[in-house]
Amino acid sequence: MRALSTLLPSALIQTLTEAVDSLRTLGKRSALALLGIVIGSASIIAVINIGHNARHDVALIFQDMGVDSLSVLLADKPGTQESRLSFDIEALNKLDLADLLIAPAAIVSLEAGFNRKTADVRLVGTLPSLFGVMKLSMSDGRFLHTFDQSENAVVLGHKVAVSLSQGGTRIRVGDWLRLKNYLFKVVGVLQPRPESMLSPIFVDDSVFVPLQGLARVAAEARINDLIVRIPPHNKSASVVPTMQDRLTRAFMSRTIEVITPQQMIEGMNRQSRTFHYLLMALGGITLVGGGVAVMNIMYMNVYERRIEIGLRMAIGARRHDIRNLFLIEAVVLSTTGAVLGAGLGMVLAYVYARVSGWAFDIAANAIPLGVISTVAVGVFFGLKPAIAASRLPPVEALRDY
Amino acid sequence: MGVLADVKIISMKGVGKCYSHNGALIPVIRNVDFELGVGDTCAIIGPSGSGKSTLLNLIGLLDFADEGEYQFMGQPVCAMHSDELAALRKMHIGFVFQNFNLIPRLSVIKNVALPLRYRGIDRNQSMAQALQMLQRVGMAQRAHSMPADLSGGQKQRVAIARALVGQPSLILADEPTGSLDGQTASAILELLLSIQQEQRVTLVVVTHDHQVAQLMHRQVMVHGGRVEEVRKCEP
Repeated sequence: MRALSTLLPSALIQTLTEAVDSLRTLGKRSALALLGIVIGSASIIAVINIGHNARHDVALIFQDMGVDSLSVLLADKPGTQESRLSFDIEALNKLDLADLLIAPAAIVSLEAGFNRKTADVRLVGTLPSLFGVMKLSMSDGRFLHTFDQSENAVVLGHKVAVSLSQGGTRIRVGDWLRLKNYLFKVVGVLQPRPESMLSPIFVDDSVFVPLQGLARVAAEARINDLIVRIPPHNKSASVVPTMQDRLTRAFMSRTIEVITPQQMIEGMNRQSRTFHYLLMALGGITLVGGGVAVMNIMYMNVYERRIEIGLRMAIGARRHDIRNLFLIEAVVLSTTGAVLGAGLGMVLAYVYARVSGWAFDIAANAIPLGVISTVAVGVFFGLKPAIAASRLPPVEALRDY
Repeated sequence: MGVLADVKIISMKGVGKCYSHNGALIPVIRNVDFELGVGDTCAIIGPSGSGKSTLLNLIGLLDFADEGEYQFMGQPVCAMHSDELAALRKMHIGFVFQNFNLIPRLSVIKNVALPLRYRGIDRNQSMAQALQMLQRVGMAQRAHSMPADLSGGQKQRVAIARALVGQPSLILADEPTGSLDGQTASAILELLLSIQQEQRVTLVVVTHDHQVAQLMHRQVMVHGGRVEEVRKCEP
């Protein structure tokens, strides 16, 4: 208190001390009003921070792929005969989309073997362009090359390489991988890479083979996805419709569904916004509930301290002195609630981030916004009882009922 | 007689006050002419419901007169704003109540220093003045006690200290001994009168007790809202 007295005028210190004493004498009732305020403040702060961390997480999802990538789903039209991989390759070769970087992916699940170890893998038949389109990076060796197209060459995802190496000989470039009855030469191992919502390929769990190589071990395989990267110089709005039109013509028997990162981001943002608004509304309602509790306790306080109000007026307190006396109590209550709520809100946001597997980051506006809105609610709901106290006629206030 | 003796602390002419009850105006105080000078002591006596407390409230600027003229220390107060009246009360009037009206959350010394706070006096200075006043009423050793820990007589001593700490011109005491036993009441009254004489402050006491009234220079009887002087002797 002595340190405080050097910073604040003594009258203010006395007013604050009196406000704290007064709230302390109200005991459980103050605690209940405080609880409402704490919950309201914590909800607001937690919601703002959770929203911030959710956006941060979405940004991370697209960080690797980049927002200039898009994914195309190829599905069979109902009632049409299933196409074959060779037809798909032919259609792809005829495709006139020179401006775009396109990599096909025909994905099947298979068992791969090395020495005596086996692992279930996702075998991805693709072209060398996938390396650039997905911005992959090598841990060892090289990616598929055009001259590998008729060869039995494979590139391993990080997890596949690790699981085939566990408890035995480490699989290396130059080793032979068994896929059904064929042996494929390992030409490279990829760097680990986080999963991306946009990509249909889980790089770490996959083994990459040339499309012709895939046809040998999985005759039924077909191109299910195209990964497309739009070069920076070709950002016109007509790129996606043009591409969709040409793909529809090239793959007559397939339906084409283009998923752009913008669509996904917008979808996620819409979902996030709805969730955010819902929680904000809940936080707001709780805060208003806390505010009403503050108003109730302040009215009770005014009623119980009627004689004190009369006495203060008798010894010279003006109306605004009385109003400020009660308003400061409301501010002290709501500020205490806001600060405690800020701490609780941050803990909730941290726990939520950890449970969701997100990185925790403090939103710059969460604490100021939460604390200011809580104090504002306290002032708003504390003002009416404070004004009512200041308007009590001194004779009425002093009357001993 | 000095110049000071001619100054009227209170000057009421034809003052009346009504209260509204079920839409009808009921007069409580009617046509009161009343004056008090510096250093006067006056007892207001009368039966319950006669209007004694209403008269005290009007004198103490806690209530507004509906008719007549009231000059407090030479200033007409009937048209004043509530904040102006508060300023006059702050500087010139001290109140002593039957139920003491100490603030239970504040220590004895803080209760006594409270009027000085509204005068804007620095905290250290006001605490020093409050302690000095507590010494005068014999309560300095209980300065940091809480009101709940005091007896009735001690509480009234503290209340007297609070009324006098700002050196007011007028002390208004509403049944100051009404809640005390006979012996304590005598001691409190003795204290009040001795300080009144020391500071030459004007004292108005509302009382039912004729023995208390006998100690005042003047006695006015309020009966049916009318005020009548029943005794007047020079201080």
